[in-house]
Amino acid sequence: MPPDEPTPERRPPRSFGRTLLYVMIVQVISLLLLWAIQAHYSV
Amino acid sequence: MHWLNWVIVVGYVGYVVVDGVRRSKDTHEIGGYFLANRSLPWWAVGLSVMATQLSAVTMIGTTGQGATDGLRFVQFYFGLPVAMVILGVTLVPFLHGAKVYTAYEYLERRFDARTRSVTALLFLLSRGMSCGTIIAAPAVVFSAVFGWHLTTSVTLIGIPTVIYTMLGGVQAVTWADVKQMVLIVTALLAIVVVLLTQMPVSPDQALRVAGATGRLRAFDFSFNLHDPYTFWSGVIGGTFLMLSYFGTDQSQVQRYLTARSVDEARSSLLMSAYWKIPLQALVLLVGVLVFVYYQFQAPPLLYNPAQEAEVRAAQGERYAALEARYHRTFDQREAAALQLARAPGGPAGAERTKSEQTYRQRESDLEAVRSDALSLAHQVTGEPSEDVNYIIPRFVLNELPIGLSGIFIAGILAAAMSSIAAELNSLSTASVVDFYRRWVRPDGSDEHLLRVSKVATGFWGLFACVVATYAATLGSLIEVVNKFGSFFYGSILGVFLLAMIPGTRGRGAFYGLIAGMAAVAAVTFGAPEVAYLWLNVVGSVTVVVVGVALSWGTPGRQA
Repeated sequence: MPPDEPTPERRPPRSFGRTLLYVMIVQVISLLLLWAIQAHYSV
Repeated sequence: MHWLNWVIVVGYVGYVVVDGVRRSKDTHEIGGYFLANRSLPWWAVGLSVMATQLSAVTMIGTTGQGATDGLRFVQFYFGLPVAMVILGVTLVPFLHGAKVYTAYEYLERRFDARTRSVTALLFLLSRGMSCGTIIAAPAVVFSAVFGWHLTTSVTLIGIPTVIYTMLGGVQAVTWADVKQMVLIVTALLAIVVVLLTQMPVSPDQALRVAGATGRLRAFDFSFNLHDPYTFWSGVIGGTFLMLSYFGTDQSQVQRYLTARSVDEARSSLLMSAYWKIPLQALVLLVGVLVFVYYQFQAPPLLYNPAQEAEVRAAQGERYAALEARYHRTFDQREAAALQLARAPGGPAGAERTKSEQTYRQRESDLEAVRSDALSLAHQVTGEPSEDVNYIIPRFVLNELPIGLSGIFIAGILAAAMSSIAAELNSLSTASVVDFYRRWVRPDGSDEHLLRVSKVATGFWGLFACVVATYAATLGSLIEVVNKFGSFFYGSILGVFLLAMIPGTRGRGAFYGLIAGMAAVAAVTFGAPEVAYLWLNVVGSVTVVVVGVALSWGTPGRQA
C-alpha cells in the first residue's frame, strides 16, 4: 500500500530557540560546576 | 527495620495503588486508557518521563557505583540534552502530529506493515524481558537484606504495580510517577543533608577525601573505544542511545504522546534535558558521600548480609581473622583520612601531598582486605564476588535515622514501580494496537479493546514477575537480556531516522533493519572489547546507509 504521509506540525514554536538557549545555559553551568569540583579536589 | 519505617513503606505503596484504582473510573475507552485522551500537562508528563528512566537500579546500583567509582558515570548522560533537543524538533512533532498510539504505528504509515510489526515485536521481546530484570534487581537486594524468599520480594514489588497499571491505565501511571519523582528527589536530598551533618568533618574536608581517591573525577577526555564511560562515548554514543530510547522506545514515546499538544510534549522532554545531569550527579554524589561517611564509621566487611552469614557459617575462623585485620586497617585509614581532611595549606601544599599519599596507601590496604573477603565469599557461595548493590541498602538500614530509612526504601520501591508501570503500560499498548487490533480484530469495539488491554497488562505483569524470578537466580540472564537489547536499539533508531529522509521506502527500511542488527552482532562477537554505547552508533548508521542505498537504488515504489 502507498505510504500515507501524516500531516505533522513540523514548524517549531517561536519560543523553541529561546528554550534551547536556556537548556544549553543550564548544561554549561552544570558541567562547569562538575569541572570546578574535579579541578579543585582531584589530585 | 523499625516498625515506623514499615508503616511509611506500606502506607506509600497502599496510597499509590488506591489512587491508581481511583483513576480507573475516568477511563472508559482505549484512547483514555493508553493516551489519557492527550490531556496531560507538560510538567506531569515530564516528571513521568524522568521517573520511567530512573529505576530501582539507579537508586541502588548507581549510588553504589558512586561509592566505589565516583562521579565518572555522569558522562553516560552527556548526550541526553542534545538528544532531547533533536527529538523536540524532529520525531516529537511527527509522532504527536500523526495521532498514533505507538511509535511503530507511524512506521506502517511511512513504510509498510512488516516494518511496523518487526520493530513492535522486537520491542515486545526486549522490553518484556527487561521488565523482568527491572523487578529482579531490587528483589534480589531486598531478599538478601530482609531475609525474604525471592518470590516474596518479586510479588511485593510486582503485584501492586500490576494492579494499579492494569486498572488505571496511563493516567494512573503518570500521576503515580509524579508522586514517585517527588519522593525520590526528597529521599536523595534528605540523605545528602543527613550525611553532611553526621560526618565528623566539614563538607569541604569530605570532598577533599573523596577527591584524593579520584571519586570526584567527572570528566575523562581520553578517546578509548574500550572504556564505557568517557566524555566522547557519553556525548556521541550516549546521544544515539538517548535518541533511540526517548524517540523509539514505546515506554518513553507513550509518555509524551499523552501531552495536550506538540509544544507540551516538547516541553516535557526538555524537562529531562534541564534536570537529568544534575539529578544523576546528585545520585552519584550520595554514593560518594556514603564512601566518605564510611571513612569515619566502620563499614561491614561484606555488604551483602546473606552472603556474610553464609561465609560466617562455613568459614567462621577465616572470616573472623579477616575481620580482625579489617578493623586494624580501618583504624589506620580513619586516622589517615582525618589527617588528610584537616591538613592545612593549598592543594599543592607539601603537608597535604604527604597526607594524600599516606591516605591512598591505607585505602589500598583496606581494599586488599575487602578483596580477600570477597574472594572467600565467592569460594563459599559460588556467587559473583561483587557487593556494590548492597552498599546503599546496608547504609540506609544501619546508619540513617528512623523514618528516613523508611522514606528511602519507599523511594527505591517508587523508582522500581514507576519504571515497571510505564513498561507494562507500553507493552500492553504495543500488543493490542500493533498486533491484536492490526491483525486479529481490526473492527473490535472500544469496550472490547479496553478489556483486552487490561488483560494484556495483567499478562505482561505476570510474565515480568516470572522472568524476574528466573533472572535473579540465573545471574547471566540479565547480561544476555542487556546484550540482546543492545543488538537492535540502534537499529530501531536507524529505521526512524530513515523515515525522516525523503524518498526512502519500506524495502530499504526492512532490510536496513536486518543489516543494522547483523552489523551490531558482527561487532559484538568480532570485537567484544568495543564499549556497548558505540553499538548504538554502529546500528543506526548501518540502517540509514543500507536503507538509503536500497531505497534510492531501486526504481519505483516498493512499499
